[in-house]
Amino acid sequence: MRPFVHSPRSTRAVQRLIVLASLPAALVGTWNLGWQTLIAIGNGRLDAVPEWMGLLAAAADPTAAAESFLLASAMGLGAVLPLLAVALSTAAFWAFVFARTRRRKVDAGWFLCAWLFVWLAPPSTTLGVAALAVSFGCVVGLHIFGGTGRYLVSPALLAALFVHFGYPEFLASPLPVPSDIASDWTLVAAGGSDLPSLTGALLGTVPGGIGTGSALACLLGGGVLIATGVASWRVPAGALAGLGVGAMLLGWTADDPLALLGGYWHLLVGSFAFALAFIAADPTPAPLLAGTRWIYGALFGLLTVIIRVLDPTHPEGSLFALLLAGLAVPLADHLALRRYRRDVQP
Amino acid sequence: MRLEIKNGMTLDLGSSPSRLIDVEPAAVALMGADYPGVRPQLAVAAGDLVEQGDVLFVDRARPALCFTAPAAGRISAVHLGARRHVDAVVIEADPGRAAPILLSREARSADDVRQALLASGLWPALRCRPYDRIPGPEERAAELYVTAIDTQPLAPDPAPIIQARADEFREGIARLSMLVETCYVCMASGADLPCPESAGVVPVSVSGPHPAGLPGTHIYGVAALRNAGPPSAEVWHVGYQDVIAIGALFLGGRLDARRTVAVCGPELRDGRLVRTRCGAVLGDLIGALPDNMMVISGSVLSGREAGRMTGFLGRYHQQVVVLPAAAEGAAVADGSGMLALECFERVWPLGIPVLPVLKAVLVEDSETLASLGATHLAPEDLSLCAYLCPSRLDFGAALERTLDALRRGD
Repeated sequence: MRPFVHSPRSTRAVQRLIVLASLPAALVGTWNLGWQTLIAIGNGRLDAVPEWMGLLAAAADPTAAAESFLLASAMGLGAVLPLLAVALSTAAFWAFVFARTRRRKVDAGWFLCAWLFVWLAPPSTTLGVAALAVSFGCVVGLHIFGGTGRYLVSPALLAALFVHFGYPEFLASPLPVPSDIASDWTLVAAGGSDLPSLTGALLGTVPGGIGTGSALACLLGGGVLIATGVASWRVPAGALAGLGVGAMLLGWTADDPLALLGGYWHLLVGSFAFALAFIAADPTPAPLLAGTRWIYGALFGLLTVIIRVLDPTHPEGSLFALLLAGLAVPLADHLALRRYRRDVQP
Repeated sequence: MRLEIKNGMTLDLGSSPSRLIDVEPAAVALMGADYPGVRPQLAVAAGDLVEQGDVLFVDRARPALCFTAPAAGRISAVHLGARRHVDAVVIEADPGRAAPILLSREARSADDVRQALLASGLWPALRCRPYDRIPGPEERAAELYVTAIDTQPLAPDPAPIIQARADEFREGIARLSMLVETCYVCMASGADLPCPESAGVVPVSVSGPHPAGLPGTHIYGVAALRNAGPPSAEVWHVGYQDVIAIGALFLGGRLDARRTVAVCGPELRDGRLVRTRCGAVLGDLIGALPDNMMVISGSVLSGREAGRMTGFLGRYHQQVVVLPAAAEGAAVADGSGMLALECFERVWPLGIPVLPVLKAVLVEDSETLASLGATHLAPEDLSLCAYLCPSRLDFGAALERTLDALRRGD
């Protein structure tokens, strides 16, 4: 009964589209990683920067615009490429191991898992921790569920959260890049002198996860995924609504300066835009009904605001919020289907 | 009644042909694969001479259900498959012999019609939902859906075929409507098909992209138009060429095994409509073929490849498609599970939610399938989803297994 003709879009093509759509965010993030390092060196924090970066910076003249761009890009690439190589080879290793032991084809999802993890990771992530985190994401998040199309939560998200919870010092460590989104975030709230400007947060010249800086590039990629039919528009629409409503409600009820920020800040700062565009677009754990797509998105947005504002120990709440929203998807689908059955059956 | 289908997808494989030729096949066959759920008990053996309309086999469990010869001739082979399942009963056709009169007296009551259909072997033209099986000889249904529209890619246009035999079509619907309370005649909007004026016959004008022509779409669509939710009672459906054959039986008393099928494909230079016989050997319809081609009886979405023993026109098929054999390799599943993409929803015109249905059939969760009201689906209804599925999952086969489990009661 299998059709004899097929739409040309395969699982790998879908995943390739997600990778391609995230490429602008990845490129901006790579440059920004070097840029933040240059800023740190300019501020005299040479001690915390890897030695080769210091030497490179000393050899060049970072005041010239073109040169500083090249320098920042080179530094970013120098930091990102080893991380990418380790993450990809770890993911490929586990894909191969599981394919061998299960006597099945190599699962298609390994590349996407490692790729998305690298851009979500804090810049100070060491290669060893990256290997551990990707192993956790691949084994616990991807392969024990049976691979692509069967897992519950995006394995890249699990890997990033592994770093988040297992190695919180990376988030707090000031350099090579002041990656602590907490400091970034409290600066925003306090209206401090180093407050990242809205344009900076939009374009991606602020510290954060490696590839999550540029909200604009992320939203662009998200738009591409919606236009090509990989992602549903209902999830981001629900998420933006959740963000707005959450920020408004907290603004009414709390008088914390954090709570008074508009919803758009939550969209632009931290990993929210990246997670929304690429992690929440993962078609495997996506909700099965149009209504639950709204709920999934809204939960993601709402929980992000709530965690960021009300829980000072998790200032970057979006990844955790997405995990919680993702875990609520099967329940939401179940309840929605139960309602559907009650409606259609007299 | 108007049924507008919005969600769906028209595959463009070229236009369907219009040049009509007649082909009298050298051999015809009845194939077991056409009748899932039937365990054939053979009434003939290789070498026997049969007339058109003679019983070839009956269903072991329901002996009144008989399957008759579409042509007179000699039984040249009985191919048995795994577990002694009948793959094909092949008749070497003898076109010189006229079809005998099967129906000697006027059928006045519903029971007469039923008996005539059972005896002539035209009863298997009817299929019932749920489970998409041939209804039992004693079964009754309130609704019958006549599929007088075909939206499969490269399918023949039913309107000229029906117009050419308008009397038989009208008679067939009149007789079939005696068996049920309501007979819905589903036709393309704009097609003015002959239809008897009667209280029990409701013309349904269907518009929209494929799957607007599938009986499953009509069954669910009409149920939704009446605000009845997903259908739960047994309903029947029948194809337009079988309606013509049934009309011919009651008008002329003879079994009419003629079929008009579209023979085409991207690689076949001269696509054509072929007027031939039910179960005709495909080689005669196609003629010479280039190498590395595969021949499909039925639609490219839900047909089946002609095997070495089973290269005959399927019982319910209206088309034969020739495709390059290389396309087959692309259809292999890559081992991934289902991706919950929205594109499935865009080709799904029925009121029941599609992704939960697909998920349920993949894990053979018959309970969920039933609770969603999806028991009236047939594998062909999921074929567009299988076409789009990036993981190349075979939803049709999974649905069949799930419905089988439901029927067995586990």
